[in-house]
Amino acid sequence: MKIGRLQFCYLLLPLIIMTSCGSTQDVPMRYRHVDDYYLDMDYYPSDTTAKAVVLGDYGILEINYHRNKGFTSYFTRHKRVKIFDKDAFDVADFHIRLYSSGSSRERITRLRGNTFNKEGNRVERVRFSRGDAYEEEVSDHLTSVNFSLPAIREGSVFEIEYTIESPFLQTLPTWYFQSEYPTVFSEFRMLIPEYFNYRAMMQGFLVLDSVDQRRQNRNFTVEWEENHFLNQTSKHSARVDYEENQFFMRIEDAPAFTVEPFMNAPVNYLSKIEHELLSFRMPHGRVTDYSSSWGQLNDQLLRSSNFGGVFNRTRFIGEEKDRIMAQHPEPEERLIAAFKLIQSEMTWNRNNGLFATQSLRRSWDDKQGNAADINLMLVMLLRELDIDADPVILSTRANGIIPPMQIMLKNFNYVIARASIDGQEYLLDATEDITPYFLLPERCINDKGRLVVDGEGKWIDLKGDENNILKTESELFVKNCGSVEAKIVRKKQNQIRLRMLDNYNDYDSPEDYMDEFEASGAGLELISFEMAHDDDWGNPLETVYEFEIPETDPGPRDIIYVNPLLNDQMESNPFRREERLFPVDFVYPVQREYKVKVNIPEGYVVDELPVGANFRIPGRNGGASYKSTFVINGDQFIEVQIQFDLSKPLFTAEEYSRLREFFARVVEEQARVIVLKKLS
Amino acid sequence: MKNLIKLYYKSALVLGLGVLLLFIVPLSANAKYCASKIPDALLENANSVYRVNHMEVAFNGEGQFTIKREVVVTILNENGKGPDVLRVQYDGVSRARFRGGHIYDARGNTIQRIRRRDLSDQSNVSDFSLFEDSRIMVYVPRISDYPYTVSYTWEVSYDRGMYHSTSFYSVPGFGISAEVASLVIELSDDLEIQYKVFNVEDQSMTEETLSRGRQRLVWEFEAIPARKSEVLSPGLHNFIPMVMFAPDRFEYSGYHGRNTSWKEFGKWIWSLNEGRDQLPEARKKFLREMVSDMDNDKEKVKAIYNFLQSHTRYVNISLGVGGMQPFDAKTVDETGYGDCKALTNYMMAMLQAVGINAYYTLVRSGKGRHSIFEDFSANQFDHVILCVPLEKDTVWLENVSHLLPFNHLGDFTDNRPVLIIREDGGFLARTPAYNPQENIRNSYAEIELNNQGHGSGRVERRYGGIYFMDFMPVSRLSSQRQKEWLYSRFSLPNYTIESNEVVASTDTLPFVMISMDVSLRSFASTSGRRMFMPMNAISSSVSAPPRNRNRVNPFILSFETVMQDTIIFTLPEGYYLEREIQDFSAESQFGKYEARTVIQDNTLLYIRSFETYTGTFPAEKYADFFDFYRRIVRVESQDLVLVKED
Repeated sequence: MKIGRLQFCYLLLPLIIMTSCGSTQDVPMRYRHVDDYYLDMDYYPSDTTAKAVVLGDYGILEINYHRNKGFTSYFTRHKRVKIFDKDAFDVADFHIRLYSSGSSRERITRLRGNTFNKEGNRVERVRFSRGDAYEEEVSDHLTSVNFSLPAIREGSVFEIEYTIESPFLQTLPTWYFQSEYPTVFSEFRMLIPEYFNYRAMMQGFLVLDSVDQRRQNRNFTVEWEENHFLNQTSKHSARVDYEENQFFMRIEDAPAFTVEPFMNAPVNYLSKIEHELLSFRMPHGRVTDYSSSWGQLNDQLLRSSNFGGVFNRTRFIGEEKDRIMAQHPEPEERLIAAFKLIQSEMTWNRNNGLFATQSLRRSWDDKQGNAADINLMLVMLLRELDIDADPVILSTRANGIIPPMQIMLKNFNYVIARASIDGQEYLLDATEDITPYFLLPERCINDKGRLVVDGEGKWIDLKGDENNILKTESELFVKNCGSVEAKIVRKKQNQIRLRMLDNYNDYDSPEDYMDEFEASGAGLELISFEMAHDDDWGNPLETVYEFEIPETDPGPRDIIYVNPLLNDQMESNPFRREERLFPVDFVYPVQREYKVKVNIPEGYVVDELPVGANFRIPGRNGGASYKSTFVINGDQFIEVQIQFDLSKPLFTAEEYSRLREFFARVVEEQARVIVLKKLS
Repeated sequence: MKNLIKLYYKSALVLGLGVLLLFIVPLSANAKYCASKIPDALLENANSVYRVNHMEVAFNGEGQFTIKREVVVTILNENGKGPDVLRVQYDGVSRARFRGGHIYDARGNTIQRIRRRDLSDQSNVSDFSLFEDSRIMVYVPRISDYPYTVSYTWEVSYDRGMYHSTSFYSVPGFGISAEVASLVIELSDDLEIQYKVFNVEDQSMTEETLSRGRQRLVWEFEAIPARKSEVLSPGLHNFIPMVMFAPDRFEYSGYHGRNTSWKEFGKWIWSLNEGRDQLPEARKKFLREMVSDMDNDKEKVKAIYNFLQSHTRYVNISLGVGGMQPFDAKTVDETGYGDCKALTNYMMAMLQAVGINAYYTLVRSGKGRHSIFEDFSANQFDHVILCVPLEKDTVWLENVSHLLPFNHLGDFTDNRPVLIIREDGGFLARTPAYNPQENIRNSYAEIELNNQGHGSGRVERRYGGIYFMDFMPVSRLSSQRQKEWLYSRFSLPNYTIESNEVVASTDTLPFVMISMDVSLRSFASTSGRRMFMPMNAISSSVSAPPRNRNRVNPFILSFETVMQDTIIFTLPEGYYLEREIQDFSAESQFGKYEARTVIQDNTLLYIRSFETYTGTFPAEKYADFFDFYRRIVRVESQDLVLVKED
């Protein structure tokens, strides 16, 4: 196993086809022939914890000319797995998805498998055949072929082999070199006629162990009929010679992939290869380009009836447009009015979407739609209001980050609007009611999106706004029995505000939220809770809590201990593991500020005060910092100030140990206690 | 609509058009469903209100029935969404028809029509299942202007008998009220029905005889207020008007059955299973040889159960006779997989092969006290286990798990009525309960604190009874994975696991033992001369239930559990105790708590025990319940304070 210093890479494959290796042409794994060694193996030496190991995963994708169907792809996969533990039995359950569109459909042309079990010295083979699979219609365009290998036990080895015939050649199946189980080898081959020009994209921490590329002469026969005068037809055929490009890629001993906390979607980190058709050229024919540049991709989108085409009909919104035009002379006011209109009139059906599902007019009538329906409508309305506006396509967090060099439409799954007024840029998503015009929801904050305009367009940063601020001001009244009464005012800005509203809206009633808040501190008794500015974007969201933490014994105490952070105290380190392979992703930067005024009860003095702390993780692009001060002000109160900032959202795996240490110190510092003593 | 009205004002002078619009406006408004017509009493605690909740079931003989639903529901806010979602389930032996629907705005104006083509038709397959012969038509209204009202009507006809009980809920959940809820049952003259009415003082219904001896029974309930959803609440069937019903006879794929008694229903199940317990001779021989040198039946059952666990796996395949008929034992023997019915039947067949009698047993599964109504003899079950009566005791086997220890049901099927299936019919029995001394969560720890406030030592936890299965799978992980799991599970302050071990013991009283050596950075927080040491950061924590200031529902405490902790702290030299933890004990109807400390030189022994009791309590008791927990939580949050000697 080679792991390139654990550096994550995006590679365009043609750049790395330098090495050549032996006879990769032989089939790497023969059907039905299982080595006794694997049947007897009771754990995988490279990873003794593995509950299963993929002994081999071999895929070959061929594009051939079919007499009736034209160019067709044939993807054959042969996978063999050893199972050690019952918990891994589900690895023998398969769901193969087949797409269809109109009369074109993918088909399984071959499906077979075997399960091997060793009974004493004898190898027992149980066959699996096509008839044992169930077909399930998932939706209009999708069928799933489901099956489960028979006679699976601890110690079984099974294999399956299937071929999918597909008329869809624009993107080829994604090949994953890695899974949740370790893999002995994973090999992917492609045999592509010279007419097709695909771009390959490799992603992940793993490095290919061998790569090879060759050419081979091949031919196919085309047949056609000609109709002549008096219904006479003549048959013709011709042999076409062509070169086939052959690619071989292989990874050996790929480790199991495990998910860690505070991590962006796994799809961003799995090692895989994808292919997108750049162009197609028949012998002596014209070159047909397929999104081999951003300009072409933009052009394709803008010409699509479900993207650029939707902007043609604008009349239905004319009345609204006139009203906004009349009411708001300033462009920014118009933008806000347009945003609010779409936001309040349209209900998001919680679907993402790169394309409008129907005409904007129909969506407007239905008052609902997916992200593309809603945000393309916003773009259209902004343009009607003479504001420079264009769509930006992006990939949501769950869908993975867009590799910068990869120009593939299928990577994108969401549209937002971008507007520009006198050099000021706005990124707008009108899907949800709680999002103000100057913020993007968390799902859209995913590296970069792409501006769709005539021409190349450009990358648009999809960063969370910088000013995600939580300000907490509290006043504590300490009683001589040790009880504490507190009033806390919190002001939340931007993403912090959105997160609070998102969370708050999940509760059935304010009381349920109050119950939850009360549970955040031991013995805390909430007296009142209020929330203000929840529908006013101009001001931070304000929440006010009044509560008491009573002591059971009402008698005065000689010594009183108070942690001024009360229930805001971080009691344990969120980063418990000692090492980490993947970046820590906080999504957006956060600034937290706490000001606490502790009123000293009469007849008491401060006996001990924490000294305060100041530490940070420095960095050119930001880091993390923590600063606390404790000051006695006269003999009546103590002022505590804490500034706790994460000024960048993403920390690399190399920075992990420093981040863990940083949080350990935060936990330490927040446990500090003020000691008050009764005057004798 | 707004536009339409505006337009109307604009063109009011144009008489012809004006008249036309005057007609259009009232026609499209269905003032009946105007949201403001809902009585105030039905708005209290409600997120949605059924204006009409109607169900009609027609039995046209033992092998055919039709269910018709008519629903008009007003959604008051976002949390009320759900009842407006249309779901029509059907399968290979039924036909579904959608009769149309409408969406109305707050004033009762139609804003949308729901047509058949708006419904998505999906395969109704759960994630864990390989294949189910079940489909579903779904429509989810996407409206965010509240309130709005959705109406729809659908019908499903079945070419089979109703072999299960069906319940008509006047409201299907907490936070929902109903203006009118009605159930109509029509029976052909050759059928009778058994029914049970819940939570209604006047249990009467109207009954009329139609032509050709058909009977028509009507229940009508009005103005059912919404119930608030609260933790630990008993099920909805304790509060709301509800009718449970089943026909006395039914037929499915040629199998005739009766619901007249548990005995009769059991006979039907027997008939489905009959003859499906044949094993290949080779397997029988194999099993007989396997147990030949065992003289004790229990040992034999255990050996065969181990064989089942290591040679089969659970795959949910629900096909044939409504998913009620198991795959035969021979098939399971060949393929090595099956669902709960097939695996239980297979296990039963294997025991028969060595001369041990066992009974296929129906159960209603689920955590908590899922129960059936014992006085209503129709299928209320969703799972199958095996009952093996032995000379001295009875063994219960869950056959779909390869992890469960022998004769251990877990909280999925423990302590509840079950139906044993024998040739002579069905018989009610009860699965065993775990006693409180089995449901343990115990800790033992030795922690040494140094003068920097750092701690180190050993922590052990032991889990048994209903907790066993939460921890058992961890014992199978490698040491490294166990460590990762422990990190994700235990939130001790700033800790590092130096070594760890998780062991499951599956003997008579199964338990899982977790032991780890830990170092606890800044376990005690320092402030000048003082150190503050949390007493309860090491042991399982007790957390208070939500306060529920205005509790309305009674509450149920389902499990008797025991938590016992012993922690030995070794304190650094040169410190004295400024604040000791006071011994504390509390006892109530809800449980018994005790914590005490013993100090000897520089060791501090902390002993805590907490027992929880079971019971059903009225809402008025909730404040006491909350307070009982809050007192405990408050005591537990105290720190021990050490001061450096001068």
